[in-house]
Amino acid sequence: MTPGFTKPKIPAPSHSPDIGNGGAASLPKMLTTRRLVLRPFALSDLGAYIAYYTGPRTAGVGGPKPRHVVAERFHAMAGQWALRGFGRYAIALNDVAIGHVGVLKIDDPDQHEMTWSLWDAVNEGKGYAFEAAHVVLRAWSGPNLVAQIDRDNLASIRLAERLGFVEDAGAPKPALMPNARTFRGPEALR
Amino acid sequence: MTKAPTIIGKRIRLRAHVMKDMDAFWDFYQSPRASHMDVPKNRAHLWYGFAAEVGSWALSGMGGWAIETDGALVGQVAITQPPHFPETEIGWILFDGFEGLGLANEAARLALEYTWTEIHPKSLVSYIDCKNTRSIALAKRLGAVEDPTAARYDDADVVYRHPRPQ
Repeated sequence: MTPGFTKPKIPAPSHSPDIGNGGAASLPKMLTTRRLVLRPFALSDLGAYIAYYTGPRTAGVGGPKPRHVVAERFHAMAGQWALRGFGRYAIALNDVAIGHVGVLKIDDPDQHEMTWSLWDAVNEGKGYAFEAAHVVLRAWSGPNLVAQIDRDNLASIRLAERLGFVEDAGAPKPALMPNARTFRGPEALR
Repeated sequence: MTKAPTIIGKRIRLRAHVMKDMDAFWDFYQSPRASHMDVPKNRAHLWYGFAAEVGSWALSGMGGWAIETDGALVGQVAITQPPHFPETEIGWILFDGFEGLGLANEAARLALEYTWTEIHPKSLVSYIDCKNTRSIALAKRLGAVEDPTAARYDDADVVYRHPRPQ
């Protein structure tokens, strides 16, 4: 636990029935922390997400990408909840989405991937990503998580380590992120 | 509406997609039947497109339905407007072995009725590859009329405009 970090209050799980994943994994629809609300995406969040994913901040995660590809990824984040019963949340600060956090699972054979991102540099350095990711890890019920982080993204690597992720140097490089380092999630939080 | 509503027809049922539907799409895109379509490069790309048509319901109140008959998944009908589409589109896919039975026709009619009563788009078109004669024939049977002046994102497409019911 980081000094000065207030242990988040975790609401009693109100997990929706799992759809198509055998009940093996789930997250509540919303989570709250001291300063943030993690909630489903709304269409009004799309503009900020497009600004982020068509811009230079996404160089380490396969971006930037054209507008229609970004819009598809945004809609897919919402769709994963309906398909799998867990997914990624909008990180809302004072009702405005400033990033996303949560568990991505693409194809059935793929790993459960923990992801976090702040869409604009102005929100970095305030502990928001840690606060959001931490509450998700505490609420997560499912297989061990993996985080794939570009080797140059030092802030994100530091965050993974603060969250208790440990590097798996022998892991195969993901095809879409050849410069990624792989970190395995902290079972201790669960 | 966080999920596609179930709509019961005479021979078919439109229902929300489930994860295992994706395998049928993958097989379809590997087959010659998909030669007129934008084929995803790999399963991750397919997943993003598939999940987006599901997530569109929660975000925009429209998206993709699975077409089912006798419990079998036979295709998809979808109402979508990604940013590169100038207008809202109704699109359909019928998997191998289910064409020629009128199933896409029935699915599209159910989807059209829902679209005009519940979604209320400003306009509705189908973007169809100009060589996809069977899909063009269905658009015509549904009452759509070619609009040569309509904007399109792919020059190989023809645009069929669906009339708003009176």
